[in-house]
Parts: sequence; structure tokens; C-alpha cells
Amino acid sequence: MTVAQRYVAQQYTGRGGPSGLADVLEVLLDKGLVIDAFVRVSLVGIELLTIDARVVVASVDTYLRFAEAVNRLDLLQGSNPKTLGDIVEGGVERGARSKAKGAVEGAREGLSSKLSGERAGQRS
Amino acid sequence: MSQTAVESPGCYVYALVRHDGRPLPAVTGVGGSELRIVTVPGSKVAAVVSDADALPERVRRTDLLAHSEVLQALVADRDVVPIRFGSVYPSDDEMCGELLAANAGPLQRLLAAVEAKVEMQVKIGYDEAAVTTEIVASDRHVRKMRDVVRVAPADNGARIELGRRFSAALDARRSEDARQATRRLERSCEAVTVSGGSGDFGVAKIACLVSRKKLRKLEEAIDRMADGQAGRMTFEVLGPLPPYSFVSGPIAEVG
Repeated sequence: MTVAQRYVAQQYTGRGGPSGLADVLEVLLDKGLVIDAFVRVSLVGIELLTIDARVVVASVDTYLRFAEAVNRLDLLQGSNPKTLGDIVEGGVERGARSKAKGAVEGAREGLSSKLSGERAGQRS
Repeated sequence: MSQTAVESPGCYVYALVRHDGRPLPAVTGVGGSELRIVTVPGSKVAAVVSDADALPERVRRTDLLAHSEVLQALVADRDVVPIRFGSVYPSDDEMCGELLAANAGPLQRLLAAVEAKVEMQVKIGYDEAAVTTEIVASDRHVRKMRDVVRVAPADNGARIELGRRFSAALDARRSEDARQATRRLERSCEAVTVSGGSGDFGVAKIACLVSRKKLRKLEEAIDRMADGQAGRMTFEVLGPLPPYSFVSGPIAEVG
């Protein structure tokens, strides 16, 4: 069974997970009760923080990236038949990953293992 | 405020809690400062604060993390109204007067609104290959432009048109998937706030206000969704957090 990746804020602040940490920091900067305080600490120096572009503004750049995504798919599905080895490997990887829930490292899955996993599913 | 009163180290505010004599958790505040609980006579609400003079002039990521750790330690064993990062009063007295005494009613209502509740954030994203496959399979405009680009890969106009078609198809899919996910989560919690996903293939970020007793039920609902969407969408869950997204804004608006 696939389980959602789960992070507890306290756990991963120490680990420096890739997307999780940025999420917590973003919440802190963005959310919480705004009080009529005397001073709000200036946030210079937080440039270390990487906050993903939130709402993706459609632009030529985005369009070209999407065209590239369609192109990548073509390459993967085109002249590149999967071997039995690929399929088995994809399945094993997937199983191991769902056991390691909460591990930040498990959050990203390779494009190719995803595809081979999918095909294994379709064939069975 | 008068210049002669600058003796005070300043009062950095983390959160509001119920004034019930519960001891503070064993964590330090920003800049390694010691936490204190401050309140006014007769008030049911107290503020968790520390001296602000330990704050460096340029706050850094570690200060944000220190703030976060205080809030996480508090939410572990009590109800919390989190205060926006970086809020400082000149002194405890001024904080008491301007925050606690001046807003006694709204603050008490806020605390009641989050009683025994926490926030869980669910970040949903598409699997790029899966959703791209879907869109190519279901949208003939995208397929048509893909074929044009295949023949003329250097035609920038065609690539942009392909991307534009793809983007429109993705937007439609995204809003439908975000709507469905929101509806399912709503059934397992008290309230939700929805914001956009991050990156080209993000779907949505949904903050759920959930009763601590129903936390398990919500998590099961998320797992069921993740299971049903395996290979197509990814679900990342963050929490339990203080109810940041549900007390967000000035007191007059949310209190």
C-alpha cells in the first residue's frame, strides 16, 4: 500500500529535508496571528530560504518547459522498450519506499522507475 | 515610547496559550533566550515570550527554526494561537497592555476556536510522467501540436503553442483534482484553507484544522487518497502544527 509521505515538523527541522524544511519556514513567514507589535524583526538575511514559486504564472518560459515535458515522455515511451530487469527493479524499489515512510529521502521518485512500475502494473 | 525606557530587553512573542499554570516545555527561544509566560490579572489568556535582545540584528534561518521549535514544543501538549514570526514589543508591560488587555475578548475567542485542534498540511503534486501521459492521451490539440513539434523540433512557435495547450489542459485537471481532494479532506476535519501547489506540477496545498481526536481519521483519509492516486499524485503531510493557517491575519479580522 502506498502511504503519503509524512513529516513531523520537529523531526525534519534537524534533518534539513529538501522540500519539507522550506515548507515549514514558509509557513512561519507567511502565517500566524498578526499583532500590532512595536517592531517586526526585519527579515534581511533570510535569502538562504528557498521558497518555490507559488502560483505558476503562465509564461513563454513555462510553455517551453511543458513542451519539453511532452518531448521527454516521447523519448521514454518511444524506442526504449523496458527489460524484465527494469520492471522487477521498479517493483522492488516501490515496495521498499512505502516501508520507509517519513524518510525525506524517499520523497522523490525517479521518472524511469515510475514508468516501469506503471507498466508492470498494467501487465499483471 | 519614551527614549528613557530603552533599558528593557524587549519582549519577543511566540504564542498565546491558556493561562492554566502548566509549566513551559524545556526548549530555548530565539538566540538561546529563556521562555517566560506572561499574563495580566484576571486574564484567561497568557503569552509565551522571551527577551528580544538575544535576537541578532539580521535574523537567520536558525532564528526561524528556534521560533518553530518553541511552537512545536507548545503544540505538543497544549492549545496554541501562533503569533507571526518576528513580533516584538518594547517590554513585557507594553505587550500586556497593548496585546493581552486591549484584546482580551478576541484573544479568548481565538483560543476557544482552536481548542484541542491542530493543523495538518497536505501538499499534493502530480507525477510528471503520469499526468503528461494522461494529457497527451486525452487532449487531441496537445497531440496535434506534439506531432507538429516532432517534425519540426526547432520551430519555437510550435513548441510554445504545444506548451500553451498543455498548460490549459493541466490547469483544468489541477483545479478538478484540487477540488476533489479538498472535498474529501473536508469530511475529516473542521476547516480547510487551500492554496496553490508549488512548481509546474504542483496541485495544491491544503491546510486542515483538525481535532486532535480525529487526527488518525484524517491521516487514514489521506492515506486512502494517496493509495487511490498512487503513481499519479504524491501526497506529503506536514504536522501536527499549531493552527498557523487558521489564525492568519490581524486580530480584528480573525478574532
